[in-house]
Amino acid sequence: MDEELLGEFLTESNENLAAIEQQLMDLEANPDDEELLGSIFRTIHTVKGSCGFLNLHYLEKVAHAGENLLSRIRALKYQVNEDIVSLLLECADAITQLLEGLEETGKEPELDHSDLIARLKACEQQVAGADAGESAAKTSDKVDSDDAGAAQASITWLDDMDASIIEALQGERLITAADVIAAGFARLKDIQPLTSSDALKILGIARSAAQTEEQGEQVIPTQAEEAPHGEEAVVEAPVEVKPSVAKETTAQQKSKPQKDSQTKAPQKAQTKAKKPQSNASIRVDIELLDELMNQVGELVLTRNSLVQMVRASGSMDLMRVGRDVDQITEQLQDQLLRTRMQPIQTIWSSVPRIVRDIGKQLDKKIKVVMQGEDTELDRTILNALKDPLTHIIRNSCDHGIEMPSVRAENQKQEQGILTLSAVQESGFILITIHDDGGGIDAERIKEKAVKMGVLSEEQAATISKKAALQLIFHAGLSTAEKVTNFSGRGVGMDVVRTEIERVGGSVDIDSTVGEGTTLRIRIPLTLAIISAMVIGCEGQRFAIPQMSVQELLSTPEDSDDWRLIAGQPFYRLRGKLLPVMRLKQALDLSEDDTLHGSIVVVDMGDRTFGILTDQIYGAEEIVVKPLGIHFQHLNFYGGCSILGDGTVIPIFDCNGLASMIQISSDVDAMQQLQEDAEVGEVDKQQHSLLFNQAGMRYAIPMTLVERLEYLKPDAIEKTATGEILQYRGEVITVLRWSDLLGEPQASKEADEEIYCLILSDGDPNSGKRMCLQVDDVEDILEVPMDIKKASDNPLFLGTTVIQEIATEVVNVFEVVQRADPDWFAHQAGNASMKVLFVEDAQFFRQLVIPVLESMKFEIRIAEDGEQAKKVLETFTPDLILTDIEMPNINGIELATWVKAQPHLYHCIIVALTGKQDANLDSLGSDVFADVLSKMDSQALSENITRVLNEHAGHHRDSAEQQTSQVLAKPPHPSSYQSVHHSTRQSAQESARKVA
Amino acid sequence: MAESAISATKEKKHSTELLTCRVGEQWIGFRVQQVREVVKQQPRTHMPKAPDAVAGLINLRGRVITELEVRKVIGLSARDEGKPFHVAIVETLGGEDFGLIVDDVGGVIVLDEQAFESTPQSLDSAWRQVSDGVLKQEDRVMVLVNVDRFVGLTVPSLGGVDTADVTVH
Repeated sequence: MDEELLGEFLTESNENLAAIEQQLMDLEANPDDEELLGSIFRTIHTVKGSCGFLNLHYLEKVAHAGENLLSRIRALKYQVNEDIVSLLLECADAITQLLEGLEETGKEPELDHSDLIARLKACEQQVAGADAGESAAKTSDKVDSDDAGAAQASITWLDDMDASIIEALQGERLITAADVIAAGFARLKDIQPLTSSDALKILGIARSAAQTEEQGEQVIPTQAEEAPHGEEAVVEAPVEVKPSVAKETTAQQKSKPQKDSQTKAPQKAQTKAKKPQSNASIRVDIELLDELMNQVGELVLTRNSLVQMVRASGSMDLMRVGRDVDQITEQLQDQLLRTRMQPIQTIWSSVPRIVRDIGKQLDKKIKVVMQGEDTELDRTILNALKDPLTHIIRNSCDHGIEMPSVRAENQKQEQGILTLSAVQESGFILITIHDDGGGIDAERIKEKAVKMGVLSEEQAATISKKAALQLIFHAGLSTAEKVTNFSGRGVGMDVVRTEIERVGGSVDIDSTVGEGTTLRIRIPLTLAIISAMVIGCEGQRFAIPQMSVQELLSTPEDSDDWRLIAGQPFYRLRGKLLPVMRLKQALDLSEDDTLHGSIVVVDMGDRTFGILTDQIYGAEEIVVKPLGIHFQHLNFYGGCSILGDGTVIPIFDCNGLASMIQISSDVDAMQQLQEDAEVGEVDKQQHSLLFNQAGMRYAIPMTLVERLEYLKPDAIEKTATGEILQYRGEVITVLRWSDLLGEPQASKEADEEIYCLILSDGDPNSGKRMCLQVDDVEDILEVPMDIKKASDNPLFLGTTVIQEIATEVVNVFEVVQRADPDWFAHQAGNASMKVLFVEDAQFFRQLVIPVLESMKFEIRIAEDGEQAKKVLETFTPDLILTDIEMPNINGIELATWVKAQPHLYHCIIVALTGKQDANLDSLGSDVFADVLSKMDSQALSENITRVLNEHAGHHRDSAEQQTSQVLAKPPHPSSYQSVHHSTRQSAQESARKVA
Repeated sequence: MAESAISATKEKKHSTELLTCRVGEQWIGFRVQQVREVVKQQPRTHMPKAPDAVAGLINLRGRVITELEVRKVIGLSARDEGKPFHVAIVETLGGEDFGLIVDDVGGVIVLDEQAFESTPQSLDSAWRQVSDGVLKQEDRVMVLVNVDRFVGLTVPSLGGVDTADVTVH
């Protein structure tokens, strides 16, 4: 066998087959896509054609059967169904399998696919039969159905012609190209409905088809001539790394030669001598690469020592050389790491197929959406992830996504969506697997855990929902009601976690019943070198993988935020109690039980805890080395490394540390109780800044306060339009509280510093800031805000009592809008605004859509109220624009319905009418925020902006409900204020209710 | 132990070289094939919560090696502070290398087959567990230490199993 030719054949076939799986699935979705079908057909056709030439009999048989079926489907424009696609996928699998065998051993593996071939043939008959039925009906008594099947079989060479022509030819029993040539032009042109030009064309096609058939075998040698080009490509091609393929192949070759010599003696010599290389790249044994990696690791360490010595020497020459060595080593390390990187696509590519097969088996409709397929990961990690990922996906399809009927009942789209996403996050990869299925009921997990003895009743009662969900990673807990083929045996999720943790990753789960489940996997980019936080404890250094480190805290021992519960220290961090491990005690380094030092906050997904240590040295890139057998039972060690000065440093495994802090379930339970209690308290309270002005005390909620600055009076500059402050490279408007109140400024010495509150909209990028100058800041307190008396002044929400002193609560929204009337307009014009436009008339859709597009909204369109309701199942818009007069459900009915939906309560609904002078009153309905005319594009755009501005604050409010209950809906720009006064009052009423 | 039986038969055929070391008053021998090198005191990293016998980790030219304190395993009192010691880097069948801390290193001797005897019952029980036999010399009895069994003794999770049975991850 010609090695080059075989290599060429393998390369081409592999390339084509790589795409065919996806193509087949696409075809399943779009059975009418003839181009796609043609492409699939050509791939199989090429494989088959080449097989004959290369003497690959098994392959030829399979490919031939597949080709026949495809050609039949193509000729008859038959709509493929799932079963046919499954069969074709199986055929493609068989071909791939044969090609793989061929590639590895250089000879065709003897695999028997006669069963598959028989099924392909049967399917072909079925396709032909189905069509025969149809055409028989159409052409009535001209052709009987049996003949039609046969006729259709070989008329594929004419697939570019009109169906009616093909039918006519069948009627005349002109089936093969040879038949047509024999019939000749004179007879052809007499056949109805063929014209002379049709007849000529058919004859031409028939001649070339007949020629191709004869020359079929001579076409292939041209490929052989092209082969040398392929070899050139090898030099430049990127290195593709495949694990120990070389080794396996050698092993196979060693074990097989005897068998080879018996079966295909003539080929044996060549096969052994040279293996056909299919890809334009070289393969490197992963072990060799690992060895290289280790050595580069050593080099990095040696470099570290060298650099330190060089620095100590003080010699300029040495320093220069040292710097070069430093850089080269870094590049070498970087590039070597890159050789091991592969896109996550390599393991994701099989997902659509898995999902499709499961979906078919379980009669579920599931769509796969992937994001970030080109995110790269270390090969070792990718390999380790493959099985857990498959398992998770199977679980999601099997238990997560509901049956279509169930989904329909729950007002979900019948097709479930499985979303895979991968993003790189500073040295780590975050992989998210989300399904929009039924979700997991934490209560059921608890029940089961209690039944299995994993949890005690008391524990189950106190455990949080999130912690309960994490129990599915516990061995022996599977919530599936019945065991299926794919999952539900109760082993699995624990294995998933173990596997992921083995490569230094972590996994957690979140789920909302009825809405779906999300699994998040955090994985280091590469195993060999990690970024770690080096800490010091009792004079010893330890490393904590940076991946687990959430933040660092410096904590004086006398801090008010320490709590001791049952001897276990907790640190109060942003309203939550963080369990803290005293490292020196945990490691038996010292009995010292003071709470002095720094806390490393470690986030393990399901739990967060602090490690109290003496010092924090900083982050360092370290090479992970395994620990010996003496440390196997110590699960809090993850390995060790050698620092620049040659010292060995242990690396902690935070999962292990986390288990050490589970001192007793009592503590856990208490923590939970404590946490809940504290959170409850926090909810009712609000951080507020208290300040005095002319003897009155004011409180301003901290919601919008970014910073409190203490500035020299001359920092505030006067301009033509008002006062400004240069702040962090920006110019921001200054308002003085005294001016807002219309009171004189307190007289101060020229150089006495003044208080400036920097108010910001919380988005660091938007740059919306202003400065509020106040006279005398008293304190920042967390106080319950109970508005006792509402205020008529829009600057205030009302009066409350703080520490027994009556205090006016400032309406921050009013303040910021005084500084910048467009403060919220910026947000309204944001591209993230979602709009649903409901309109039945094509004309108006065309008129209004460009306006909405120009405003950079995310737009969905519905043609009537009925459709709008459907859209609203999955789409939660910020604004609904609806026509009034529509079939099925009209605009008012739709708006009334929307108002009754809890998840849509914040939607702003605006009616669009064709009348020029639209106004609210004419409709007699109060469900709309406004009525706008859709006739004038310019006015429409302006009016939409205005309506959004008016409601922007309302929006903010709902988004920040947790932190700003006392804040009323902000007032509207003054020009509209009078009109909407009633809305304002009701907002204040609601604020009082909350308070 | 099958392993010691094999080495015993081997020793009858070939004369074996032994490295002699002293721990307390006891002289011991390691098979030279299993000793990579002998090093002086190295900067050591203490590993909290490690098994008793583990003195710590050392960096031997970029390789991290677990140091085992022989005196601890054998049940002798700790060495006096500041007293110098040597570390014999030995290789086990499990593939991992260990540093065995001994008080002193003698030299390499060729095993005299005539003098080799099976472990006597009179030997201290701790030594008996790791002995492949004893060598009687004029004024002393030297214990031929089975390195794998010795290391196995120090791993709590193994409960005294040979390291040969353990595959290092």
